[in-house]
Amino acid sequence: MKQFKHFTANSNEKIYMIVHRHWFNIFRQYIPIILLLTFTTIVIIILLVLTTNEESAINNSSFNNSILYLIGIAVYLIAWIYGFFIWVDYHLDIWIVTSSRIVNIEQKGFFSRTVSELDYSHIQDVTSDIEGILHTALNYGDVNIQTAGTHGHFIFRNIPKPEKMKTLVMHLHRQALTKKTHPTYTQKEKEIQKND
Amino acid sequence: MLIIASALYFLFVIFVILSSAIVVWHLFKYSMDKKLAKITIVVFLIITFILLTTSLFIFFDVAKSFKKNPNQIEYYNQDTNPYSL
Repeated sequence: MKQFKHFTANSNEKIYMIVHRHWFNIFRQYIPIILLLTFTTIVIIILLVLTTNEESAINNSSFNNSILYLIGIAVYLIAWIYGFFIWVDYHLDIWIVTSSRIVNIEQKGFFSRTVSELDYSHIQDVTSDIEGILHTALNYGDVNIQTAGTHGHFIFRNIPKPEKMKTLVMHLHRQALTKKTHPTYTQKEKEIQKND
Repeated sequence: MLIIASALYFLFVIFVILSSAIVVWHLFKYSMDKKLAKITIVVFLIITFILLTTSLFIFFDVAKSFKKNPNQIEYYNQDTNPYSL
């Protein structure tokens, strides 16, 4: 039985898919960090070249260089920790598709976490949405699940292969409906599984 | 000057240690792939430790040379620099 914080699979529950956001979504968040690090490195190199000329060599260039290194390393350290924050946020944001439900575990910052579950029998319709050149090229997008009554929307954001996910959810939804309308079918299914 | 710089650096070190502790604790507690989480935490802690100790050595180096000659920063000003060409 698969078990971790916020999710415990039942004994007869089968996990079909565990989905994270698409890698390009996290890469986009890294772009400002990469730019900041490149900028810092270039500035430090330029200042080092400027402070190692003859005039400043007479002065205290090693002292100035040490301050530059200190500022540079502080920027690297903050960028490294922030980069790791982004990765942890990505790693802890998951959607789990099982044979009986969909679980959405969403990390919002470090001290806020939303866990929601959706039963297949509540699903009304499923839409996959791929918008834009990059989304089309890299095949990632949203899957919007419209649910009955007060349940509202259930959205898989920026997931890879949204069409495949839509097909799987629809298939599991149909299966759940069949079991609901023909309860004996479940019994027969169990008997078949036992015989196998 | 040195006291203010030391206090700021001390706050920075505290910030780094606290944020690292929070992120590591979070990842370890909530990750569903414990093996991957452990590997990532080890890599993260090693690199953070290397960066932090490097910054510590550089800070001590700066503090030491500043203690020897507290007027160094003023040498930036060409008018007051006795060695200025």
